[in-house]
Amino acid sequence: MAVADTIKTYITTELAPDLDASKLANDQSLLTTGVLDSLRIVKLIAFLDDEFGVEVTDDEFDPDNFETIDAIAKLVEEKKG
Amino acid sequence: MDFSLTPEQKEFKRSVLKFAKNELNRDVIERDHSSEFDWEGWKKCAELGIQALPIPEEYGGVGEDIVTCMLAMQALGYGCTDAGLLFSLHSHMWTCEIPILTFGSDEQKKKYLPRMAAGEIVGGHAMTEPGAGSDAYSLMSTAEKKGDRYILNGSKTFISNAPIADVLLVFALTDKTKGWAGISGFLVDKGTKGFIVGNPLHKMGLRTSPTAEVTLEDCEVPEECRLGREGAGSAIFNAEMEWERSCLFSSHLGMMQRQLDKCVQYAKDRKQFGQSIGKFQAVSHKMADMRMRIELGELILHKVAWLKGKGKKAHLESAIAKLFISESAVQNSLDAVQIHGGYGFMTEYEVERDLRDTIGGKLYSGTSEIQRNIIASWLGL
Repeated sequence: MAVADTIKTYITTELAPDLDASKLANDQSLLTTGVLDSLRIVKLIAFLDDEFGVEVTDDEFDPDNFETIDAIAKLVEEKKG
Repeated sequence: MDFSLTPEQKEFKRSVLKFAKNELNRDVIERDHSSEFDWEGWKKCAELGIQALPIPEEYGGVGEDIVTCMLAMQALGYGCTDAGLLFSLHSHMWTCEIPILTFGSDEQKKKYLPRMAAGEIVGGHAMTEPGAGSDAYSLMSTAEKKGDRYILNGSKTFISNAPIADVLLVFALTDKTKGWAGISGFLVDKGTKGFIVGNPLHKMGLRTSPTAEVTLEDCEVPEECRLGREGAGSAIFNAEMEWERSCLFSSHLGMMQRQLDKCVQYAKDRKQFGQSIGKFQAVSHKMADMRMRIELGELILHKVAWLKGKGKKAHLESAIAKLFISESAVQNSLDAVQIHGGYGFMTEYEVERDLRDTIGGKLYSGTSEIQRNIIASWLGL
């Protein structure tokens, strides 16, 4: 499964289970729509560590890096190098 | 899992403990009564290198790891009975030094960290507002961008160190439409026009740590004062809270151990009904429970230190540690008063002050209720 798909599945099953995955686009804002709040991001970061072995540093814990599924996937891909 | 300390760490802890006992307990009862900050103690801490602990050598610090920082804070908690001085140190170190170290530009680090490490200037942060306490991210203060400057407006309350601070990390909204993701941090120096510090607030405990309201009235700061990127405020706040919830509560553990030692001694010395009161299970069991809480608090803090030492997030674990230790400190303090009986209620015996000082621990750095919310959210609730 592609990184973006894995992240999307986690968000729609664990963080925001009321959300219809088919209606969540990868370039849709997760912040302005309230899908992610600051606490959910912390949980998402723990998931990224478990799933991809990616450790998000304090200064990368930035809303811009979590704006969309694409942005999160980009962060993961960059860190996996 | 290895919890043992290195010989260097043991020696360091011993030296901090000795220093705290000898140098930081001047007129605490009187200064608690008059809400007076101990500048002399602050300077002595700086001479020992306390404020420099987490800062790398290149910025004038000693670059100690988090375990060593926690050991120092635990030793200070044991040796120093002035909890207000320690609270001010914590605010300075974890809510100002660490954010600058983690998110600051090289210029900001060079400007602030060497002098903060040397104790020459005092720092703190300004997050809480009259309408934004537990719901910290619902703040109303704004930072409007105008050219290469920001105009800050708003009101902050319960700001630790504000009356003595040379610089405060002020959180304000740079983008109201983004809510929590639109919060940014700004380093605002004392004396900046429109940066108004109110009179010290009177508190139930931690009276020797000055607290005040801060008002921002068209407070203009250059863009270079912004810490990190626009919108990084929540990241800064989360990072500093992890440090504060770990290191600040190390001091609580030190205080709890000192308190327990005092109770044990008192229970051995105090005779009622023909024997030491410690022979009565009603008394000894209280101290057994106090010891148990200290042990468990140390274990969870060790785990937090281990995680952070590996560069891992410890959001859940630091919330558990904060909740457990702050509530344990209050319970132990209540037990200490009860064990000392009427003497425990008297100011001169310095038992009741620990109780007053620990109550705040259930409120600052996120209330007990907020810590439980965090833990519950990790359960998927």
